[in-house]
Amino acid sequence: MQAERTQATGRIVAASIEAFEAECFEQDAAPPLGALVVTLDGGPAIYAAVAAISTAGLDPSRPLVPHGSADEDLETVLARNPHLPLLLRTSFNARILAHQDAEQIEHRSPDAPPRLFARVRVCDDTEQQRFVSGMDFLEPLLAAGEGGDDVAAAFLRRAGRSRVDRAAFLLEAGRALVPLLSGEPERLTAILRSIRP
Amino acid sequence: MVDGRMFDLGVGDEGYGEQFSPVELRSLPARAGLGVVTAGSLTKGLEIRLGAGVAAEAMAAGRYVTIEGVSSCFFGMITDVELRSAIAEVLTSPPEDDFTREVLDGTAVYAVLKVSLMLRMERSANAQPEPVRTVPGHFAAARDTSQAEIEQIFGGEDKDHFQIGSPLDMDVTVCLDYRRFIERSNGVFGKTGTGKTFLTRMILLDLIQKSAAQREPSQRCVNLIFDMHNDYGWEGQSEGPSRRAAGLKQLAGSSVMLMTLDEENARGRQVRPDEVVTIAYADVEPGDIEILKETLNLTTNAVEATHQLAKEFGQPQWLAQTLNLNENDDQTAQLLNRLGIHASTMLNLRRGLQRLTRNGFMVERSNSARPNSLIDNLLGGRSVVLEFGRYGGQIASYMLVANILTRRIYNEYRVRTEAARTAEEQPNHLVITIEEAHKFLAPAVAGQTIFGEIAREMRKYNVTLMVVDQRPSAIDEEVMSQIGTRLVCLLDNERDVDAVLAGVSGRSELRSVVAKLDSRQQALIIGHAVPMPVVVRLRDYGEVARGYESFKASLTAPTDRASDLLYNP
Repeated sequence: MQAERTQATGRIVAASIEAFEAECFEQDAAPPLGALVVTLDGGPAIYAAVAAISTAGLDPSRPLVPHGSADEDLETVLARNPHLPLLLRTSFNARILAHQDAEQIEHRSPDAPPRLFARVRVCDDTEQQRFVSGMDFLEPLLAAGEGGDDVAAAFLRRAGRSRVDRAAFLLEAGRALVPLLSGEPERLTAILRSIRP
Repeated sequence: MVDGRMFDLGVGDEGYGEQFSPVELRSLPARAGLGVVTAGSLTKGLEIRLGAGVAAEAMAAGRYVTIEGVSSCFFGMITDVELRSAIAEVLTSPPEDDFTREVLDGTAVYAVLKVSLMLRMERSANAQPEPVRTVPGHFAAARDTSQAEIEQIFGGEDKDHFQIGSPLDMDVTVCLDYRRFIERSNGVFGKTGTGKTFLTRMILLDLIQKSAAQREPSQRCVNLIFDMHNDYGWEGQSEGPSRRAAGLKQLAGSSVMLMTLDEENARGRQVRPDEVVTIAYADVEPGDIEILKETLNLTTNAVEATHQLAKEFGQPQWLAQTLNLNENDDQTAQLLNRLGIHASTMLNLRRGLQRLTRNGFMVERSNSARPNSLIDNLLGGRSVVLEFGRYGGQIASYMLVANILTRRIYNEYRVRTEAARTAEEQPNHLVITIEEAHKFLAPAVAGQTIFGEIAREMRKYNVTLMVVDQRPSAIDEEVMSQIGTRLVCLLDNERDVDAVLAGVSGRSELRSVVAKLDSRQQALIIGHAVPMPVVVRLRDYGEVARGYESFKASLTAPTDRASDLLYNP
């Protein structure tokens, strides 16, 4: 993953102390599922994991009409209708995992939601490694609602790829998952299957 | 190594399907950590949950562990290794890939050590091991016991301690306390083929060596070995290529007198005994015959007749006169009629007595120039090995001779001990080694043999036993309770295991240890001469013999050298 410290990805358009929605500055430029993102403005940094990504029309009251015939590929359609991208918006939802408190990262919900219109960017490798140096992030990561296990697995896979000791990290994370999911063995085995090296 | 998470086990019964939540773990000490205490009690021992990465198969029953309490260390022995699961579904659908197996190992599935606590030691300078009267707290760290700790507990080899072997998976040596060993009777137990003879011979050599190193005469000992199968005197069998191992006479020279009941057999084995021993008719008492009731197939009436005839003819001539009786003679018939002894009873008795008297070592009158030679040698500080030659195969002969000679020696010791006014006047402490001990010490005869008396009286007259036996369950319980130190090789009969562990703290846990001993060169040692039970890998006999050679070379008194006759690999 390349360093993207100074490049904001989007701006928050809805927020709670559990999650926020951010609209991307560029279409189809959302961070991938499971990416660790951090707020840039509006108070102490808030860390979150990308949990859902969508691209839809700007006006929700006007559903999109498909353009082009069956024989025309995407590039042809966009070339013949250059205005179409201007009518679309890409946004992503992120589950809040932690927030900055003085010099420490506290792995729990912040006292207040992130500020609306605060910018968000993807964390670089150094920030990612520091974030996962302990396993305290797992509990809030697993607390996501429907589809949360896919987010958790994607997060762990990305975190593993950022480390030299990828296999050791995934093993440690797997072992840390066991007590947290001891009462849900199916979830546990499904996540382990998704993250195995 | 244990990872950074620890699991507070919920209240469960057998461990399957327990729910648990993560708890912060104290960091383990730098020495190889095994796990942490998760449950247990003073009476039932501790449970130690192995950390992830610590292989269960590396944990052997009998191995020592140290548990680090807050203010003291606890020393215990692994008695069981149990596999458990915190998630039942893992067992019904075991993982198929290596990653999941590795994740679950030590977390969802884990091993628990059952540890029997033996000793406790305060964390202070000059602290001494103490009996355990409490337990460490939850999550106390457990690790392998260090070699330095073993040495501190068992002591190093010196004039008062002799090496017996090494604890499992350790290179440090374990020593027995020589003085405490001879203070009480001891036992070497194990089923046939487990090396009891080797172990006994090794101990005897160590006793001779340590005795010679004692400055105070009252701390010295001599040994009398009733050598049933000719294993202890000149040489015995071994598993080495030569198939022979040097015996006590070869190694200890003039410190040991080799005597035999069967000179012909000795010469056939190229063994030159120092003396030939005979048993005169006059030495036999009715009680000697009584303990042979089953062995000689005597009826109860025949045994009773023995006493009647002894009373009629008097000691010491009753046996000779009984054998001279002629049932066809009127005088004999009248005598038997008067004593109420039926002809068939007399016949049964005569057959039994003749089984004994036809042996070459039985003589009508002793013609020895030194009738008390055996006793004189013991009192003079020399150990005696009495080989039985071909007569060792007859248990009746073995029991008769051992009982008669020991009775005579014990009486002499009693007289001298009671007459002694100072410690120096006391006779040398005597250790009598007998094999097939259950024949002498079974409940039916223990009250009648001199050996039962010696065992019950402890070292009242400076005489103790070393019993060698493969059926400890056949030994009288009261006698077993007086056995101070027990060296237990493999036993697979449950009653025998119960017998050797009777009265031992933590015996239910030690049962599994006994059952798991190797069939050769391993023993569990418990009792008076060790501060806590220990499973040892026994020393090699050749090593002991070579060690004795070095020891002899350091003595100023002239001794026979036997280096050419040592066990040759």
